Amino acid sequence: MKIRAVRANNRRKAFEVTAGKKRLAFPFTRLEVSPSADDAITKVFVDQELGSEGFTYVLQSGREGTVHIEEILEYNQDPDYLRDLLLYRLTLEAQKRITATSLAKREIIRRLGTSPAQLYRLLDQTNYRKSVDQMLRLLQVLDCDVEFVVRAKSA
Amino acid sequence: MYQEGRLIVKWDLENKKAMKGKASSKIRELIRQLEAEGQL
Repeated sequence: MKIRAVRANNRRKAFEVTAGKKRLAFPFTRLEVSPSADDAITKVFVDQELGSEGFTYVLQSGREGTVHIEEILEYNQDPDYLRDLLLYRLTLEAQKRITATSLAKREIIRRLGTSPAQLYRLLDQTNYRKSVDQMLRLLQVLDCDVEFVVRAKSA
Repeated sequence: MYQEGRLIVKWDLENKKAMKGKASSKIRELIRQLEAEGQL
C-alpha cells in the first residue's frame, strides 16, 4: 500500500498518513527517533526509495527516522493487514505439518479435492490471494485443529 | 528490502522466510551478514 500524503500534527503528537483511501495516525511515541520540544520535526516526506511505502522525517538536530507503512497498519490494527498476517502464520504451520505428516502429497491433494498446483499455491507463504478458509481445510486434512480466540482488544 | 524504489523482499527474521517477494541467494547472504553484524 502506497502512502499518498503525510503530515506531522504537533498538537496531536502524531503523524497523519493518507494511504490508499485510508487516513491513519501514527503517534510520535512509537518512533525510534523521537522529536521533543527542543528537537522538533522540520521535514517529513513520502520516501520514494521505499516505493512510497514509507515516510522519512528529519528533526532540527539533523537526526532522521523512517516509518514503514506496515508499522502504521499494525498500529492501526488494519483488518487487511491482520488478515494477511493470519494467512502467513497459517501457511507456515501448514508447511511444518506437511513435512511432518506421513500422508503422501497425492493423498492430501485427493482429500482436499484439488490439484497439485493448488496445493503448492496454498503452501506458498508469499501468496496472499488464497483464502483463510482454504488454509483451514488444508490444516484439517493435515490432522490439525485450528482454534480461533475472539477477545476484546486491550486498551 | 527495496531496490530503486521497488520491494524486492519482505523477510521474516524469526522464521527466515520471505513474506513477500523472493530472496535470491545474494540477498540471503546479505541478510545473513547483517544479522551476524547485529544490525537486524
